Amino acid sequence: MSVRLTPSLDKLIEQVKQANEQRTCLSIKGHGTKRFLGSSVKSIELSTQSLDQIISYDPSELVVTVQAGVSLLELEALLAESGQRLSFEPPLYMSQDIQHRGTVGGMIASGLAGARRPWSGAVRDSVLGLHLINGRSDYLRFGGQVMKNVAGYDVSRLMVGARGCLGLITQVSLKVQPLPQEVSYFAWDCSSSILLERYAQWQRSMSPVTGLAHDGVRAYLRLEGGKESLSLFASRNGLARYEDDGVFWQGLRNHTLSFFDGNPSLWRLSLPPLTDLCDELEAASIRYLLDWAGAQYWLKSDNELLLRSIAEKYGGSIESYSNIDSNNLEKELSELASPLVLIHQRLKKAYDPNAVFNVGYMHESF
Amino acid sequence: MTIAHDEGIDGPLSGWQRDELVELFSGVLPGECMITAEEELKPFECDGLSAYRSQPQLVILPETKEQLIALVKCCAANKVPIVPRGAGTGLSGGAMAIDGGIMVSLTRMNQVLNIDERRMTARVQPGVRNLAISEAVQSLGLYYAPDPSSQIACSIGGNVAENAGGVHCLKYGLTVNNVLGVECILADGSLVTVGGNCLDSPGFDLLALLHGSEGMLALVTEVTVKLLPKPELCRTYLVSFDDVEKAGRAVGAVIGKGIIPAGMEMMDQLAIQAAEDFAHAGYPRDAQAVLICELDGEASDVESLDAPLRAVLTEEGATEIRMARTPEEQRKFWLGRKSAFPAVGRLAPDYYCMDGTIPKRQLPAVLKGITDLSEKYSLAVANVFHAGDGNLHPLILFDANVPEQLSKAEALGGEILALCVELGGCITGEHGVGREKINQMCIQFEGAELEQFMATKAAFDPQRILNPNKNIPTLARCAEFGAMHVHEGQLPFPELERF
Repeated sequence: MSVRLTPSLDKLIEQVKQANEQRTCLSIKGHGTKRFLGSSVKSIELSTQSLDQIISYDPSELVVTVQAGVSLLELEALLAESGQRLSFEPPLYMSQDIQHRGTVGGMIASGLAGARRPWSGAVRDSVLGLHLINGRSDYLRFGGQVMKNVAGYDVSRLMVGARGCLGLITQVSLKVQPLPQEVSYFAWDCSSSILLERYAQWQRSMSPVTGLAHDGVRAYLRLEGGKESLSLFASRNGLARYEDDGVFWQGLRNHTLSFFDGNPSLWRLSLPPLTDLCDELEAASIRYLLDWAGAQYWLKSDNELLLRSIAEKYGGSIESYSNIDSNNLEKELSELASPLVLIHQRLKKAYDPNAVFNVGYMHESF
Repeated sequence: MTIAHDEGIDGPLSGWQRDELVELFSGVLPGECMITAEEELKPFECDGLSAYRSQPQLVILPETKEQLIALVKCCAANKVPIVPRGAGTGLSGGAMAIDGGIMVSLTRMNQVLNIDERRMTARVQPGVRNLAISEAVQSLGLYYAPDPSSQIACSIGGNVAENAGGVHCLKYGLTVNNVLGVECILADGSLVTVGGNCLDSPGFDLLALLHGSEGMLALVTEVTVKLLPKPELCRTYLVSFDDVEKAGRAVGAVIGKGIIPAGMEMMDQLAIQAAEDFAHAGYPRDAQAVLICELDGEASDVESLDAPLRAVLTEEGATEIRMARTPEEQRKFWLGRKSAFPAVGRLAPDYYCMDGTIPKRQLPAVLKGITDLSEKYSLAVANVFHAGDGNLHPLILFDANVPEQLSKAEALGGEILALCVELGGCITGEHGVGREKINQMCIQFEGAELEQFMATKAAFDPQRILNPNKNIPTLARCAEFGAMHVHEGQLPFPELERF
């Protein structure tokens, strides 16, 4: 099926074509809310702002198709009108412009998901298909608008979290989900180990948990589902509701809790689920927020070496959210087996042979 | 146009002869891992798509990953193509043998290596059967969610290769959504781990890319899967309609109301009759279509959906709504659906199972289109759909002994897939491209997209030794097939000669 290209797409294709011919580098920019994830030296900014169309949305299909420059605030409002949402709770980080809280393209390229991720899946689990412009300025379509599609390789999901290093995403089709009938919030003082032990029991039967966090003193729990099942779960487990209207969870999602402010540097630590290292972090005087039922920790520290050794000890990885310089994943990727680094380099070459896009965002060589 | 390998358009084959291959590998693997006898090779001549057969020259059944590594290294050094095979239940000829290469069956690597009860994961070898995972964790109240209809036999390695779905993937996702990590052997024989115990890992999402790659990017040696708790309550409804298009519309209406069934299946009249004759499941013989709708989850949530579900189905014109009252009745409702394929198989000597997907709103249009095509080709088509996710399995009935009927069935199938693409869908939802749909790939994708696939393959396997000539057609094949898209009056490959 061929595609009719709009003038804004034609213009972007032309820009990529020129960059490819002249061997210049382009930095793809949406709202710029996730700049901390990577930066590139000596590059020309390529804005996705002109890609601002909602292509299609049919609530009964549970699918929305939008262009990459569409604002996440706009997309979420659109879905909410039909009682639906993105399941993976993408962060809406602040920027100087209050309306600029991230774009669809940035959400896909960063692959970042919020507190609901362990229960509702990652960004890539909701991606059904996308269009992209590769480094040779070819306009390509992969996947589709249907729930199941195994025609060809799954290039759409490969683009999720690839940080724009493999091409410019122009349009994406996403699976959406109905809003839950009811959401309730709970918070109480208890140790992280008790909280994780309780959760380990809860998860053995179908539980309505969609958020589990701990800040060193307090446990935070979010439940979503039918009215009756929520109140049943709460009463069975002796939980008392905490009426903050989800302010804590919004703050965790968008990094507006005071925990995230100022120095020292902010890090994200990804670990196997139910990892409890609160005692170890306290002993090392590292401020932390446990998220994802212990599969993700937010850390405040300038002791990078110590954090790396903790990540290694528990079989996880860390990533800086403050310091762009230490942030192109080079150290994390250097721990990958060398055959996999080679695959990364070859994939970069396959999609962007002359290194046009986001050079150095992920690794100096791709 | 035939799917058979054509050196002129698909590229040359390796040229290795059987005795040369046997000699090459006898130094690498113990003799008991090799099958060379003609009669023992016979079962490997096709996978679940039995219309296409090609006997391998040599089948190797490694028992350990060390053997498999040695084998791949030997193949890499000598440019011997490898066709990987799991349980052989695939439906697209993905495990079809090619001349000059070897077939590697992974069925002997069938151990459940570890069950992590606390983190609810299982680490298994690729030859472990899909259902065996759920059986291994049954006593813990857990199960592995993806349930392709072949789950009793199909292997998890094959599920990863095909990104297998099933009747419950509307709610629980496909294989890619339920696998946390794999260990695999790359085309140069190196062993790597992709993904693992964490919910994400640094770098490109190679784990997603490996799913559905049909054994063309790497050979999987271990799979770590996510386990789920069994639902507290599961309710199954059998819903009748006097019009197949009404049933199609009802599917979208249920989901539009915010009800996400664990599974929603649809059968048309021909499929209902056949299933009822075969399984005596108590299906309404006079219905033009039935939906089997299953709700599961926490008991009070499931119960609270009963009234809204009935209301929307009634509004959409359901003539009867039956809820299974007993586990026995529930089993019967599913028995009819699950025996649909063998049941239809009794209506004609042969049937050809298609696997297209469409946006759900197009269900009425595709049903009408299939009826028209069925008349055009004078071949009956029974329709069995995973309706909730828009995945169609039209079964084309034919008799291979009547001259021309197989080619007519193939042509009809090809037109159904082209219709799916036209309606905004795709040529395969869960069975894969393999060799079967190699020509239809030319309809789904344009030249530059196919080239990007080939470049992706080359990044993993520059020598093209892993399952070559499957999944992605050459541009020459597409030019020959005549389905290349003309964009703004220009043929995409003016340099290619056309026949």
